[in-house]
Amino acid sequence: MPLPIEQLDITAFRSLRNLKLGKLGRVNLLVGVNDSGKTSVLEAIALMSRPLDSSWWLRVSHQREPSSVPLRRLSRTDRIRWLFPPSNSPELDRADMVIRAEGRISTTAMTARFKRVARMRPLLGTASERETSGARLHIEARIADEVRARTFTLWQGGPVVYPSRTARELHCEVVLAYHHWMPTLPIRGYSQARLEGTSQDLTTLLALLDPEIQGLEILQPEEEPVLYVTHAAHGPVPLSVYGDGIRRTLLLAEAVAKAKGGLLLIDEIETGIHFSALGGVYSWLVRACRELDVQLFVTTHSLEAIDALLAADTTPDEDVVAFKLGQQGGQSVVKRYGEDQLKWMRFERGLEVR
Amino acid sequence: MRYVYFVVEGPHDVEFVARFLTLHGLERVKHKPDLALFWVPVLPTSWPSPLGSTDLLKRVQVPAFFQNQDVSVAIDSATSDSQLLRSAIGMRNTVNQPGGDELQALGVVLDSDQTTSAQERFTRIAKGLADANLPLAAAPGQVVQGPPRIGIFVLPDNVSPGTLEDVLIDCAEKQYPQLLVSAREHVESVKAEIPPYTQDDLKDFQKPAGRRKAIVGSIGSVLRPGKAIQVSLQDNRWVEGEALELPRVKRFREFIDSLLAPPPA
Repeated sequence: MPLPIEQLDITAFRSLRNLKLGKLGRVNLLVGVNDSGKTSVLEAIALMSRPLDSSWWLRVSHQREPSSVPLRRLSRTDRIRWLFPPSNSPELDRADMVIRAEGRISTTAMTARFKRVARMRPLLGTASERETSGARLHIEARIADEVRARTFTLWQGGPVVYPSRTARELHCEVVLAYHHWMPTLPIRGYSQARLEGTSQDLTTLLALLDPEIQGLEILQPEEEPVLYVTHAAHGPVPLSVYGDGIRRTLLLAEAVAKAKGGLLLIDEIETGIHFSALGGVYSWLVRACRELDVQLFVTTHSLEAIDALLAADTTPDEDVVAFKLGQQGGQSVVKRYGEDQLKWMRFERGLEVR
Repeated sequence: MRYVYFVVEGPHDVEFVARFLTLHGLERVKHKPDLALFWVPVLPTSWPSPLGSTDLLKRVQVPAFFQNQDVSVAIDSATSDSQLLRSAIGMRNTVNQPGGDELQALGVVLDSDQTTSAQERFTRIAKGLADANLPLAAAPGQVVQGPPRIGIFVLPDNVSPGTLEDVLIDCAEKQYPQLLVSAREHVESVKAEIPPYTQDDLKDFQKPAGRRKAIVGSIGSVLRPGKAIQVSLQDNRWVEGEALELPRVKRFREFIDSLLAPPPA
């Protein structure tokens, strides 16, 4: 059975130009220097999974700016605008993006056009109005061999409509570097695992990081439910007391289960987990991806993460491949490394692949 | 700049190839800042540890580099056909960058022995390279145009069974005839059947190429006492003067020259 995405062509998306990722694998490592476009590839894949969903566009456009970031946040319109290729006059422009994919994914082509629009909006509690901007998007997508189009405007401060998902859409889960600090995610993940009877798998996974972890449970000592870790020596300990490793691992476990049959996109996969635990966690992750038919795309700057993911695949199939991204003369360039080549470079010769 | 990669069968062969590079004015690159950027991806950045290996004797492998203003060459050492192939294919995939310079030529230098003929070894390597979408080499010692240009030389002369030492003994006849005579006498005086040798003492000596390797080693020990033969190859006159006119040496020199030559206009 083909993978969700066997080939991805990104003609124009953010700063990516004419990027072709061919012969994709079950596990795809995206490497390259800063600003080479690794995270942009994840975003392009995410949009391809639900191209006509306005709320998904908003989520993808703002996930680089978590609310706690101490910088002034871009407007909704600008965040959408910067998903498109930059131009010399970003305030006035129109812009287009084009992405194509081959594989099991239902969306095989997407073109999107951005146009900045404006309207007057009443100021609350006053009789005056102020101009507010919006991002008008016209999207055409070939979904299951049928061309579908949608035009909508995402206004600054306007309501967001969350459409129900269609059965044809692939699941696509996105895990960013800061997501393990979002308090509700692990509770949802544990609840889902408990309902599906896979909570023991989570315990086994967490025990890779701390062998004294015996399980998880949701308790409600005050107003809000809290996820507790049952520890052999300390009894129930709130998950929030634990460091990044446990939280991150739990988040990965939740994400791979939710991505069943679809796509899991992880930015900076090495985040939060000590290198000594990477081997165990990634072995579990790669096995889970295979068992749940999940295609994994990860970005990383870490050689330890690359080594651990390579070591995690012990099958003769070429499951793990890497793409080194770069820019040259205004175009994206990419070098693909197959699994044999990666293992030779890392395990036989100690060569750099990032 | 043209880039050429050799993978050869052992450190002696590395220095043997290097001697022919110096004939083109190429010099050994000893420091990283002097090395062409093209080769930086093949410099190790961590201690390689094969999966499941507990080997503490594993050493970090760095090619030997030689360059002049036109050509930059890396020479790697590997053992066994599979390792020669992995190095040749892996190195080419490592250095070629999209939109960047590409490897101009790839040379493989290996021995033949009594059990595997030159043609057999050539065929194995040629097929392995072709399976990796590299040009199919035509015959031992012949260079086919690429890209990349490919050549496979089976020592000593692409036909006879033997090793590098056969060529070096030819060279010693021209360059160090007296030493060769005395080294031969010394080696011939060893009678394996006479105790007090143990079986292990003469294990390598009694291999097909053992006596010839011992003769070359004896000469090297006089020229560079206490040093390995590759040091003598590097420092002494093995491949100079009249030795360059020997048929086997000329054939090898033509092989190297073909790989280093500029691409046809």
